[in-house]
Amino acid sequence: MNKNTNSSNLRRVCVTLTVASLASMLFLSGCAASSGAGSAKASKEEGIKHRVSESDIASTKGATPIASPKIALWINGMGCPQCVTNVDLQLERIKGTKDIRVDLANGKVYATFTESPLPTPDRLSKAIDDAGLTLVKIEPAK
Amino acid sequence: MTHHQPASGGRSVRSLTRLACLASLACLGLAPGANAQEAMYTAAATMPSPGVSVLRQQFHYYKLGFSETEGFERAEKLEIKNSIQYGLIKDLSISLDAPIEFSKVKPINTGSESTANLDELDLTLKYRFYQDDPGGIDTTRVALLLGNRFRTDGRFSSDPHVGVVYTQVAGRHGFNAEAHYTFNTGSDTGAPNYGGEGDADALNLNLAYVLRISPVEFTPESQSAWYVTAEINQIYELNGDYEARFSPGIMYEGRRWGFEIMAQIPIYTHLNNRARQQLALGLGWRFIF
Repeated sequence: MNKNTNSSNLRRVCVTLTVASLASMLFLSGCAASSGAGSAKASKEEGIKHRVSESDIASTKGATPIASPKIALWINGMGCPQCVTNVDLQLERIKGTKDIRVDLANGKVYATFTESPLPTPDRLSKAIDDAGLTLVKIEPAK
Repeated sequence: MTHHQPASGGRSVRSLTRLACLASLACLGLAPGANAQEAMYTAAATMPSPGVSVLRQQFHYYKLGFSETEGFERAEKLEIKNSIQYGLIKDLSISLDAPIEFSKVKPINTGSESTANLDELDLTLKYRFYQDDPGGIDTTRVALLLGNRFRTDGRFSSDPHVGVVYTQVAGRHGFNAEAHYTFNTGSDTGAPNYGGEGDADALNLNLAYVLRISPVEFTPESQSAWYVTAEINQIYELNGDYEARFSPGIMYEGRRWGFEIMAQIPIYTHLNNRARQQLALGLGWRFIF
């Protein structure tokens, strides 16, 4: 194999990769743009942007046990059913956890804790962090 | 660098078949999941969390055409790729691949030869060094892959590989890009090269688009999803061989398990040292526990 053939092939690889990458990126950015521009028509899930304050985020790091045994965790990055299985598996390691329910439509996970002391926000935050996702708010649930 | 160790008669073939069946049953028995949003031939920057395992088994069928340089009229291979991935700590996982191969080669001017063997073991670390989750579903992640392939026939061989993988999920759209370089340092055994398995170093460039088709929008009750996937898989070997393949497929993800079906069609080839892949089919499932 001579050098000319090698460099010719390398050029071909680069061109193919670049074209394929650009096409994919353009397609994706097109999708993103269309969902953003037509926000009124955008699907609900494309608009899941948790509205949280700085204090909401800061409170997920608290060291005082949560007040309510039933909580809703507002989570970012739950892209697919299997992504959130990691959440189940990490939350189950917290003592007294039961009734974990995932709501992919609203980006929330509901859980009930039956044993005292109840977990701290920091412990819950670590579980979600270990699961590879981002906890942005903890609120009491009904 | 693969090796093909001829099985000693039908007994070895039967043993490997039995091993393959046991591995399949083990996968089914252990039940549940997957590397989320990961298409069959392109890695994703997703991984099991600490203490969690993902078991994955894929059946790949490959068919090669005539190769004068390799000395065969046609070659076929069924590869049963058994993988387990384990979350070590946050953002770091380790995986072990143990493929079992059943190969049939029709050399030029002689009869067909069948072989069965345990192929090279592959140990890979995946380290996610970037993560941004801007919304309930949306995420962007980048991970580094670092691994090594070891021969299993008693002879020492080390084929280190390094790669980087990018994953983006935006609503129902997912995109993965992977660049992977393999240092093929082992000696060639003369077995058919199905791409990146010869003496020359290989660069794999893979792109995957994953579209969730059902449900189009998640509901509070959604526990599973169907996806269509489209990949472009490129292999560039430093001896000048280049092959690009298009891989359409369908993927299902439940909460704890998933399966996938893929086909691979060559779209561009420039090969001087190995045979052209005519067709590849893939079927796989995965469980998380």
